[in-house]
Amino acid sequence: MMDARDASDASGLLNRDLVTGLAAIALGTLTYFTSPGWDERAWFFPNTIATGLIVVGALLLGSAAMRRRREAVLGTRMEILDAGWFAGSLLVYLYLVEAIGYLYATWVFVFVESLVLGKRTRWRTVPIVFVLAGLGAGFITYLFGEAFNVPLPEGALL
Amino acid sequence: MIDGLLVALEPANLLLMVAGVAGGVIIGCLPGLTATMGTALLVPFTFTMEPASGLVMLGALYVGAMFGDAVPAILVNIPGTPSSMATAFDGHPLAQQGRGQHALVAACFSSAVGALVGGFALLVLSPPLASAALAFGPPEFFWLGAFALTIVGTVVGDSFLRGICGGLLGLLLSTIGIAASGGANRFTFGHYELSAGISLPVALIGLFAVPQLIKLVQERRQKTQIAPYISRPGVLRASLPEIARPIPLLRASAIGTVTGILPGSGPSLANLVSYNEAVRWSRDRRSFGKGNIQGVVASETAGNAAAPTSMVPLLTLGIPGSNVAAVLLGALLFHGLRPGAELFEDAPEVVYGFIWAMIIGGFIVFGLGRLMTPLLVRVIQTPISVLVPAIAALTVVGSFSVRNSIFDVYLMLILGLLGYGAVRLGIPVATIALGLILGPIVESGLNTSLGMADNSGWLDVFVLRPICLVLIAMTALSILWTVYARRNERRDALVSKAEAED
Repeated sequence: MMDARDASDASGLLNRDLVTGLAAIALGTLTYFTSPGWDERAWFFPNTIATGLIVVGALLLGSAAMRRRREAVLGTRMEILDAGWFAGSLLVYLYLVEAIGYLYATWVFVFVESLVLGKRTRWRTVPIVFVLAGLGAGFITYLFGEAFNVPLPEGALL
Repeated sequence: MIDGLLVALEPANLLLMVAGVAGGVIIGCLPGLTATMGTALLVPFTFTMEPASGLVMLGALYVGAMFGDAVPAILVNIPGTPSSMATAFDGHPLAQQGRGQHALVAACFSSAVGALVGGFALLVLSPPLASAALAFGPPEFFWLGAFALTIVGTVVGDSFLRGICGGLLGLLLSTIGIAASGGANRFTFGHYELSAGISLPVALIGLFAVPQLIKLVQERRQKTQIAPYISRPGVLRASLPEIARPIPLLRASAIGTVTGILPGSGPSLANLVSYNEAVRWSRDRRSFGKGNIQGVVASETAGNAAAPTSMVPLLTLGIPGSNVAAVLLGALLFHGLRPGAELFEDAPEVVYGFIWAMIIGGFIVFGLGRLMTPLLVRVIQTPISVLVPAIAALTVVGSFSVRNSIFDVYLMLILGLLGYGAVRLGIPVATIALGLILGPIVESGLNTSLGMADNSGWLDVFVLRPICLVLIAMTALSILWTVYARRNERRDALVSKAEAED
């Protein structure tokens, strides 16, 4: 639920049951199209679930038709931006992990996230944050990679 | 039983327990981090350990988190987890009055008492219930899985249908990979990495950690006010006559123990019910909500008694009674252990070691909790800008370490975003996780039952077996009860709205 102030900032109001119902029916139908049919024992269970999804999806559509309550399913504009930023930065982080290895990718990720998520960043503190991010990344890498002997992703650098 | 105690008392395991409790206390006290998320993050790191040691650590972490969540509830008025919601009602007013240390000592003491009572109840109740599960065959396991999904769908979240939808989505995700029967490649779309299916720890980390991290990022602008904390010596001794009253402790422990056993309720409900009863039985009702230490005792004792007993349905029947139990079910299955009578017969040292860890964890919480309190006051002030990247870095380590696969790390992110979408739609991620965990059990039960039905007929196999009938009736009852309760809730809301308008 959101308050009145948020409502003015909400980007599009949707009915949760409607969206979930449509998604469930789409997923169920897609499963039917992917499966070779009911005859094969291996596909009996996925097809049963697909049927369940379509039935529940239809019931959700019925519920949406009866109660037309609309909510900010996606959240406020700021929430969407925050979620988009974080998901995007995680994706870039994973790409970097693959490309340059866990230690350096984590260093970059922790440094950037600390700056972006920090309350106020002064230019003077940037080098300190950079060094602390490196120490943090080094600590996690050492703790898991060396002390606990947990395998870590390696890249071109480490 | 004794073997389990000896396993738990091994020096290495005691050390793991202390580490687990300490980690749990820190996770629990960080607002926004949940015991479920902490357990999910820790699961992959237990794979290099013996199953008994891994589970001992996970059990201790859970007990620690159940106390840790009281710290932000008392000092910041933000419950660390839903199981300390009622702790904040009186804990925070106490902290505002400069009695924060009294409230924290009361929380620590009652958490330990609750964990001990709940732990012993788990020890006594589990073996006979597990023996009853010996009568279960494939059709019974199929219906048990269906019942577990229904009950979680009905209790968690605000919509039964959306809860069921989450469970079905989880079941569908569990079918990815090579089918156990028939060997067909299902939904792999040419990615050989998916042939072995979705790794449970990877899914659990994605589903429970990523949505929580996004939520933390979104809530970072909210301002929090921490109540002053002054540490004085001798507070425990001075508080004992007030907090160690046998009747309130027994009442709260009994409420927590019983509530915890009911699948789907667990500590989140126990603390509220117990607080309500403490108010009802008190001669000084008006002081509740204004800083009555009995409010803290009632909430913490019940919440911590419910935590171990929420493992009863998990260990005996394989039905997770709470979100943490769902993650622990994933951990058990990944270690090759299947809950039920087999677990008690084949790996008694593991299951009893786990139970004893929760009991001993209560003692550790009492000792460590008080020592750590000054540190925790600082820990809860950890900025989001430090917490979020650090946990994100841990999610990568956890998901990569399971199969040394970068594909799994991307999969963790995809499942995390799916979990976030589910949260926005009001679908509890616990239902998706549960579907994913129970999928193979339900499918195997269904396929074997279908084979049996070829000879005996569908009705005889799926319906006309006593336990199947009971499970079908329980599933139907839980659905009908939910529909009835939700209808009443809506009617009450409409009546309240009409009265307010008048």
